[in-house]
Amino acid sequence: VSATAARIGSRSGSTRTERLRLALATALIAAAAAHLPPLTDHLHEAPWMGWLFVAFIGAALGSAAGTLLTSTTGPAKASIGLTLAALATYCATRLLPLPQLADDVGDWLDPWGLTSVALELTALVIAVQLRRQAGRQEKGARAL
Amino acid sequence: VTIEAPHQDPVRLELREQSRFVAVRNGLLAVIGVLALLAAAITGHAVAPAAAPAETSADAGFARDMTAHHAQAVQMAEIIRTRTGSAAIRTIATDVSLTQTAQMGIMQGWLSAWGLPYGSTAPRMAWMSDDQDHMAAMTAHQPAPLPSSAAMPGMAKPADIRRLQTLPVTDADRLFLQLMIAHHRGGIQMAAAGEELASRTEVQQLASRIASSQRAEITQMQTLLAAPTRS
Repeated sequence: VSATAARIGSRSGSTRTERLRLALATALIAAAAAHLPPLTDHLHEAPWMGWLFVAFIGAALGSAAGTLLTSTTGPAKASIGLTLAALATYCATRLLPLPQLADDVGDWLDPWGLTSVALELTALVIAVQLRRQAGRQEKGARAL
Repeated sequence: VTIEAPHQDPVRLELREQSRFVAVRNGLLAVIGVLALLAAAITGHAVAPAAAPAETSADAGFARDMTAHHAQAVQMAEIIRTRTGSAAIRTIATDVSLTQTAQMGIMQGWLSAWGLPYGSTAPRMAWMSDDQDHMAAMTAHQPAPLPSSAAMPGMAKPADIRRLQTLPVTDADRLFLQLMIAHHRGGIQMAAAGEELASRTEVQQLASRIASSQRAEITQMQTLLAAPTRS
């Protein structure tokens, strides 16, 4: 009985992990997409930030693809680092007069900025859950 | 002992779940591909240098012909600035001279940056040849005919320039205002065509600024021309 229950529990955990992977990939794709509309303006007005946007889009899409194609926890860890870095950069641009971006100081309600922050937070929460889920599954496998 | 519901086949359920996961995953991978291409296209478009206008383009023609047009305005303004006894006319002449000299520098800077010569063997105003209807419509709305037989609208004749230097000062002041009003009207026609035909944003913006500033100066000069005395 205990072996069957463990198998069922393992299957349900695996399903939950797969759902979390899909959710994380979706959130990362949406966060990358939210960086596309202001990309041209940034590349013209503050090229260094434009290239950071390009790097974020590339990293977010890469992490999303990694999340979908592998079962390792690497992409989830990368997503946590990436979203934390993006959130920190957003706060820095709103608090400090960075080169060519002094106008952004205090502009917390910029629609694309808010959208990005919401999606990055969502991706961060899902990535943390995915990491925990993977940890629980590892423990369960060891117990068996 | 089984704890699974008898009507549900767990293997079939898992297979169904798996195929659904694979379908969603493939869809998301396709979206990732599309977004990556879109990001690359946007970045490439934003950082690629804009192509320089061609030798025969409206942009180059406008820059060359407006430079020549401005040169005569500066010449007339400099003649009257040194002769006039009217502070108001001296102010306008100085303004025309400084503004249009600066604009000539901008336009020659464009030609230099585009790798094009300042002069051209193409006939004057050839760049406006596609805009004859526009020119005709604008000319029809002019309150007075342009006192110039030159190819560029509003250009003063060499004899008028000589008269500016030789007429008594009060007559020269009056002639300057008449010539400069006509010259500005011609400049506004060229600027309107430039704004419409040029492809570069900076050319369109300068053309727009030229038209609006020359309209304002025409009003000023008409007021001076209508005043019984100028001092």
